[in-house]
Amino acid sequence: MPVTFLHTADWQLGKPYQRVADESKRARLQHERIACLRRIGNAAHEANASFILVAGDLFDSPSPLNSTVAAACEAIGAMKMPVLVIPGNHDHGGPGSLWEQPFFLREREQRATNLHVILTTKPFFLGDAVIYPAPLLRRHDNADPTAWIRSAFDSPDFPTDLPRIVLAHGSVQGFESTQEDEDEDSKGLNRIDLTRLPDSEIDYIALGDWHGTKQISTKAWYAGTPEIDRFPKGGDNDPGNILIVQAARSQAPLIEKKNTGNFRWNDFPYRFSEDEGFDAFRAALEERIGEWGQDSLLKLTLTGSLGIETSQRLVELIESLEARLLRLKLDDQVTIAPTEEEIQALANRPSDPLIESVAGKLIALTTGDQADVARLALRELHAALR
Amino acid sequence: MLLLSLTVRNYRVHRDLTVEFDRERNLIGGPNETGKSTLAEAIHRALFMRYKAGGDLQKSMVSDTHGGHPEVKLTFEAAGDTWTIEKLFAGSTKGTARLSSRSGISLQGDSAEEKLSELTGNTAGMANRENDLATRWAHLWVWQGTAGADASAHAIAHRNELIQRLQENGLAAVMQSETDEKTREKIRIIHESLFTKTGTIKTGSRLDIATKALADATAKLNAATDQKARLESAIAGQETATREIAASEAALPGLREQLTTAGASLAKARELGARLENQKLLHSQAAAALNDLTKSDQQIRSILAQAAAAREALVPYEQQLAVLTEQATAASAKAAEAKTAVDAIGNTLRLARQHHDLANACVTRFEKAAVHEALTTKARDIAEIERSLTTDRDTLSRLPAVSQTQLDTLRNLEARQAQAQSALEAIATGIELIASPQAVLLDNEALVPGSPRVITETSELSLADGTRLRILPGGGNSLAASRQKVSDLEKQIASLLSRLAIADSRQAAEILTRRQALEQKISATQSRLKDLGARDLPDSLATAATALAAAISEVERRHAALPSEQAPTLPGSLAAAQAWQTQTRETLQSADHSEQSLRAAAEATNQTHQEKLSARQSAQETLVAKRLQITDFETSARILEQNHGDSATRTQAIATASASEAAAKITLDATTASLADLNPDRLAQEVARLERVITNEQTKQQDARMRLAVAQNTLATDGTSDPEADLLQARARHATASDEHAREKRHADAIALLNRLFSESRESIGRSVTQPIADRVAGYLECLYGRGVRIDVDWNEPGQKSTIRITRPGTPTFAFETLSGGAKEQVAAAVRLATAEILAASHNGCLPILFDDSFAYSDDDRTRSLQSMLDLAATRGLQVLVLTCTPAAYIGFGARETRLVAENFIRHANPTILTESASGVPKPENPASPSTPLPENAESLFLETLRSLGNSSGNQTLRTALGWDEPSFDQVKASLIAQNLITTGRGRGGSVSIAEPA
Repeated sequence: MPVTFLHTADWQLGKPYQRVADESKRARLQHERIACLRRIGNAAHEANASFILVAGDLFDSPSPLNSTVAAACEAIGAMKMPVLVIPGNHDHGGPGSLWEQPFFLREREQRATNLHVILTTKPFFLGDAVIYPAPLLRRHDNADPTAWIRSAFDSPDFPTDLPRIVLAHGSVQGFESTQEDEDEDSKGLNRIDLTRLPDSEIDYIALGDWHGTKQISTKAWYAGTPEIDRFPKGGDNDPGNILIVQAARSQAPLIEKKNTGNFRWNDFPYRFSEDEGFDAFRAALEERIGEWGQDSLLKLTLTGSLGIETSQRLVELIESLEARLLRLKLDDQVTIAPTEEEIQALANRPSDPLIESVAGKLIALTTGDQADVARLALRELHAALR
Repeated sequence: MLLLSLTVRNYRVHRDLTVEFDRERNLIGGPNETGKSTLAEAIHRALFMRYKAGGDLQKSMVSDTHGGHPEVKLTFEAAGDTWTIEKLFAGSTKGTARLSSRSGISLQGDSAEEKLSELTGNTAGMANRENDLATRWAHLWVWQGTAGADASAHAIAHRNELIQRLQENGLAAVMQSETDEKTREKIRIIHESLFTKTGTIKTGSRLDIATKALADATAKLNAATDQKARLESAIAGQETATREIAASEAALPGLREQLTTAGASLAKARELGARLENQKLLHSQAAAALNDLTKSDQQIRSILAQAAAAREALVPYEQQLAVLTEQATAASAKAAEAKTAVDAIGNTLRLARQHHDLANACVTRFEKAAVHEALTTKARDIAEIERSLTTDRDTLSRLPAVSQTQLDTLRNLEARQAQAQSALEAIATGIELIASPQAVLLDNEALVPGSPRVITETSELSLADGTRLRILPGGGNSLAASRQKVSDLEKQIASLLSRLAIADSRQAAEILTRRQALEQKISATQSRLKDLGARDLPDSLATAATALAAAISEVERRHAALPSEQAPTLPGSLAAAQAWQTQTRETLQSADHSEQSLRAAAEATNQTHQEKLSARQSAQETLVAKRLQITDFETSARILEQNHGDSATRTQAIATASASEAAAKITLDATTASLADLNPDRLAQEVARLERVITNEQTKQQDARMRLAVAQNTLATDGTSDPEADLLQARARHATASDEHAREKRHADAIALLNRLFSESRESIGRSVTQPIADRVAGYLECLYGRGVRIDVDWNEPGQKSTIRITRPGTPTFAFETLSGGAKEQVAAAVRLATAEILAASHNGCLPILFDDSFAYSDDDRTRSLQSMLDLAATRGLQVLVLTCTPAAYIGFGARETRLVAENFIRHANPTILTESASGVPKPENPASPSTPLPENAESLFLETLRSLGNSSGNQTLRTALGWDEPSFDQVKASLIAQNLITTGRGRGGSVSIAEPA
């Protein structure tokens, strides 16, 4: 008897987006994570799903704000089907966790009775599937949270014809750097060893933690985060989706990926080799961002060097981007290298001996310890001359 | 540019005057108001004043005395040609200007002035107003009263020209452009917005805000990190506490069971222990009984043995006591005997003492009687002497009371009377009737032949025939005085004699002798009486009588005390008494000796007797003690035997007790071994340990529960903040603030660097401009101050104050402002000369420079030094013009001199140079000597009048007010200037002011 359900993970509700300085932009980003839940619910109903599995990190923090908890419960309640959740490393269970807080318990009771938070390592019977959860009860656990599942099938307490689904959160072999978020400070923990799970006893493994949608094996998938929350790394990273899974006992699962993301996260590295390249860069950027400005997030990594004049234009462009985009993450490694004309214009001014003298000294300094300061000073001098 | 000649017409005091100039050195001398300054002004206005200028500027030039418009004609060399500019200053319509050159150029009006400006390098054009005019060639024309101004300001005004010149001279000088200045100003403003004057970050600047924001973000990050750490610690604490509670809950049941087992074993051991104690008691009782029995048996036997031994030891003590008793009896008899002998000699001794005492009393009695007798005799002698004394006293009292003084007085009076008599006789007249038939009467008293008479006063000698003769003795008044004196003395003698009741002085001497003999005798008798003790005698006699009576009664008493049969016959005399006294003393001494020896013997025998008695007593006591000891032994033995039975009974009892003790010992040993097997000490430790462990576990559990509660409390959130998100936020903000701070810091560093480089570059450029001038100025100042003088010129922006500092060898550096008036003039002149020298390069190497009475503050020495400075300038190509009212002071300058006198009269100091006067009337020489005598208070009059005119006045006005001629006025004025009481000012004809107090 096949069952259709939704596999999602890493909602990370309440994510602070602390790097976004602008309050309203930050609020938009935060709000979008809640808004995405409606898209998930719609998708589940469209797919006639029986339930929704959230493979960890529903919240971004083990101590989310009450408002976040309330919004989450409201959105989950609106899904009107069982929603099974295990705590991930971000919202891990254990002492003092949010799952024990009276406010959460109250909200769930009042507004999301369909929400099931699984905190124990024992099979969870849903009626048309048996879930083998691997909840994280602390942020970092050296033990494999799925270890108990290896022997869980020795004496099954449930009908043997129901699909068996493992629900886990952590990194698997080959995905060492799952914690690629710019603020993450842990790597390689909460390791799940899929090879030690009895393959034939399991029909699907719903994984969370990796924010891109990723198939690990025939039965094992990372759903990824449904709304992108960070700049993707690597070309095969594919965030912003949910998975619609059709599973049956002893059959290969059928997986359908569905995009649920709204915002665009762009990674755009660029190296300046000559001042003429600036216009080309500008054109490429326009093309990349297009009319998405307000819904785009851009990670701009700039290297190489620019002349004083052009570097000033770059400064102005960056100023514009910062205002226009939802977020600009800038890694500006561009050095100011005055062009020959600029050097001539500054340091060869017989009519302005004072400027000539100062510029000459600054140019001499650009090769020494004070090079950065001297280059900046040159730019200031250049600006003062305009 | 070089001035060749000047002609002025109808220009103030000058009707028509031409001055030829030397190419190098010119001196224009003349008293005040001869128009020197007007000449300086005329050259200047010819070159720079618009010919059409009117108004006050033009009017001020018009002559009061001559008609016509002011005209100036100046001939000069410039740009390789010789030029003449002629200007008629007659206002906008009538004024004319003409410029002509030797090469044939001739220009009129504005064209003439344009060319003229080109030739003089005057870029500002011709001036219409006095203020504008003053700016032209201000560095070359040193007007009267401006010499002390800081000349570098003029140099700054010509800076660009100077720089150009310096550059042409290859002096590597460059000057900042307007762009330079604007750019620098922009950077300076940015710098000022970032940094304070001391170079610290300015409050409120972008870097300051970034720094504060970073500090704030760091604090917030720390707070968020702390909060996160607290939560993590609470989670860890909760886990640890839960683990601990579980562990202790698991451990406690096992521990409690162990405690129960150990407790049971311990109870058993304690029961055995109690039994062991009981058995120990029983055994010790049996052993004690045996011990008691054995001990008392041994004791009884020992006492009996001691008693026997003591009885044996008693025998020698008893024998010794018998011997001692016998010796004591013998000693007692001897002592009684000696006592009897002592008693007998005692009676003999007492009787001898009584006799001796009686003998002593008899001797005393006779001695006292002798004393009483002697005193009685003495009393009789004294009575006799006192009777003789009374007789003498009577005799003396009956003699006239003539004293030695009175006798001396009498004798003196007699001597004086005799002298007076002699004197009287010497002056008196004597008359003696030798023979006369008739009676001759003197003062009616007949003279008798052979009886001369002395006449001491006027006497009448009457003869019988009626003849009467008046005799007048000589001496006059003296005679009468002498006679009076004799009479007075005789009266005094008579009075004295009558008072003493004697006849004459001889008798008085006799009486005095007798009185003195008697007084001597009385005195001797009195002394003798005193020596005899006449006064104390009655008392001594009474005392002696009493003593005698006492001695007699003593003898009688002692005699009566003796028994009648032993009473001796009393001696009849002192000698007998003394002999008896000696006898009795010997008897007494003999008896005394016998008594002493007998008493000593008795004491010795008595001593022996006492010793024997004591020895016997001691022996007796020892014996008694020994006997008592024996009795004690015997009593003890008897009592013990009564308690413990006799020897056989005791032996039986000892055997029974020994058997009981052995049985108890066996039981005890068995129990001890059982207990040792149980090891009760270890059991007790085990129980204590288990109890302790259980208590610890319980405490730990309680503690863990408490910590659990605390941790749970910490972890219970109110949902209003997310520490996780807060930390991420704080980190992000810190990173942003850190980036922002780094960016602002780099920006500030860049601005600071730029600002510093601008300052440094500007300074170095400034130095390259000022140094050549400073070097030239120093060259001139060496003329004044000697070699080694150094000058620094700080050239600031146009309009800003520049500074000049002078350093002379061996003295500190002085700023220009701090120099004295004289030094200011000189340094300023040096700066002007140096500047002119550099600028002259644009004018064919020559420029005129004019000093109008510019060294008023310089003393003569300094004026001489100045001349060499001016001479140096001339040598270096400048055309120097010096205008002075003291031309004599500038002899050393070696200049062509032109001397002006009043009313346009021109004289030639140097006869080789001629100056034409178109219409002048020669005036007498020596115009400077006052023609009218000055009042003595001329100077105070001058000052008072000047004050009344408001402290300042034109020379002419003041002179009119004073009513003095010019030489007088000038003379007084010069004196007051020299005293620094007034100062001179500019203006037409010059002015004077009351000097400001320094």
